[in-house]
Amino acid sequence: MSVAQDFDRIFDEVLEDILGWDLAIGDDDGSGTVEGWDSLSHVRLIHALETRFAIRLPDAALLDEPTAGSLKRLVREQLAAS
Amino acid sequence: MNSLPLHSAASQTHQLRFSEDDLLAFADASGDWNPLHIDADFARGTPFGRCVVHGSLLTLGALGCLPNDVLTEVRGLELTFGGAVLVGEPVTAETRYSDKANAWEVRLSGRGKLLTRVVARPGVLPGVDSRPSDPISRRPMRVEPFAPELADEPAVGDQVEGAYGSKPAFAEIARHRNAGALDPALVEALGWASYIVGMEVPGLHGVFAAAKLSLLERDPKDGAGGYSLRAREHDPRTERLVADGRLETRSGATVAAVIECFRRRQLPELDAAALLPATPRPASGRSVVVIGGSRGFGAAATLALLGGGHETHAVYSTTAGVLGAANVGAHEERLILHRADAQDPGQLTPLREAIVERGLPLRGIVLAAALPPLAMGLTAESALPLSEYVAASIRLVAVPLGALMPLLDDQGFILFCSSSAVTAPPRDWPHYVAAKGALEYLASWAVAAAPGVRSVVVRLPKLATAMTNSPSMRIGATAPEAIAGRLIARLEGDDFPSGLTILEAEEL
Repeated sequence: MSVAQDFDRIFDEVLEDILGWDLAIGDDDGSGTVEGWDSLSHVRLIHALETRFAIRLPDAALLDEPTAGSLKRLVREQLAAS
Repeated sequence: MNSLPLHSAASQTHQLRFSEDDLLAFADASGDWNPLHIDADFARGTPFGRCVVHGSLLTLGALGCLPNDVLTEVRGLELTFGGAVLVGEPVTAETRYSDKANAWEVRLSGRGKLLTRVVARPGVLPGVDSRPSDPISRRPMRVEPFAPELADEPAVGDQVEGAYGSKPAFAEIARHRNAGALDPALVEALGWASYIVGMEVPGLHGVFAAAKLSLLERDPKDGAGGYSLRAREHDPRTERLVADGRLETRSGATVAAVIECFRRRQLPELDAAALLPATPRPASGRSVVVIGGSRGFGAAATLALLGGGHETHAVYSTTAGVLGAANVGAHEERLILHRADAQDPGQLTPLREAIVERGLPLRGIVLAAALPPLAMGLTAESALPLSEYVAASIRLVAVPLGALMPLLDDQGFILFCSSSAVTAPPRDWPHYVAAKGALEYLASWAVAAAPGVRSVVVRLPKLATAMTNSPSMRIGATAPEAIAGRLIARLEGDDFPSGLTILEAEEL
């Protein structure tokens, strides 16, 4: 499995763990389209991504209403910077 | 690994509701006496506004929607609490089975939102088999929630141990909720998890967010009835805490757990000294009224008006809070406290009579009371609670306005506390935005009804108050003292002409 595939797999596992299975979350999906992606689960999601990827995301990420795709880019940027 | 019985793959729905008596019975049987669940006055000082149903009680209700032959096979539970369910609030439970996940899921929805998700699995949960050291201490169960000091942060590696055992009535609650077929050790673990978050870690200010419970083994001999718990992660930004736990039930079973929770920060008290001069100014010879005057922006406005030498009537619903004599000092004689529900016309009569009797002209009315806005989605079903919220919010403004406007002097002011949410509506607050919109139009009407009056709408930014004291909302919140001080100074300086003025958050 490539590094990119590995990243996607781990990212999807975290999403599934926090938001639930069988949701088929696409890159354009976010809090407005995924039932249960509310403010509390968003905070949990950010913390879970930080733990799983051993990174620290900016505080603003806790407040934003991102899509799965934009969150993925943010995690990649932090990984590259670390 | 076993498979769970399939039954029908089609989802089924059930209606659930939890009464005050249900919550009291759960508290007594589980040992989770956290006042958030059973003390309406305490709950009113939290972002929830009303008593919240215990997460584990919701879980029993959710599991009770599954068939008994499914429940008997369950060995692992995953619970997620996304939004609070309030006492008496109706929720809809929807069950479904996933072949891929080999698990049943129950989703509880209310206010147009998914509020709770419970997943039941037939095997041990991966990643939930960690074993903090065997419990040694048998410290008795707490009867009052642990209430740490503000600066007392939990640390990764902190360990807690103690005795745990629910009362026999707890199994009866599970049966009453149709979850009696669930393994007794998992039933016990649900009570324990609730007790942990509400009474031990974090305790008084805890909010249960999620848990994974995994039944590891069963030993036929009598068990210890004890637990150990070790903090794995803690983040001071949001006060999120994740802990690994192990419960040995009195019936000899072992349940491993991962418990995730948040701690509501204890808000620092308002800085009264920043708003009140050390020596009281000469009396202004006027009176003012603040509705919602004991907390948040209303309390800060009360102190600023008091500092300006006004006889200040503060109306509050639950507790005088920061307006106690110790904070107000030498200004106390000009502060008149009224405990009243501002939505109730009859309860404002003594306030009106007190103003008339004391004989000072009424210079201003501050309408700062608001209802906490729990997250809501707009669906056909949630339109009813939405309209109830808006109606109650309008009453909080219109009842005092109707009672006090006739007393207001010619150059008087009415300060309507709106919100920056009106111009940037949060997705989950349709009710709040609608209520603040209605408030702003009442401000516009007030000008037509009393042309000389200064009607000022202030669209307040997110303030650090009890209403915003949640993990995500408190980030970036502003202390209310400085904003209240500046705003009251401008009102005192006749900065606003008669008629309607709307102040945006960035103008404050």
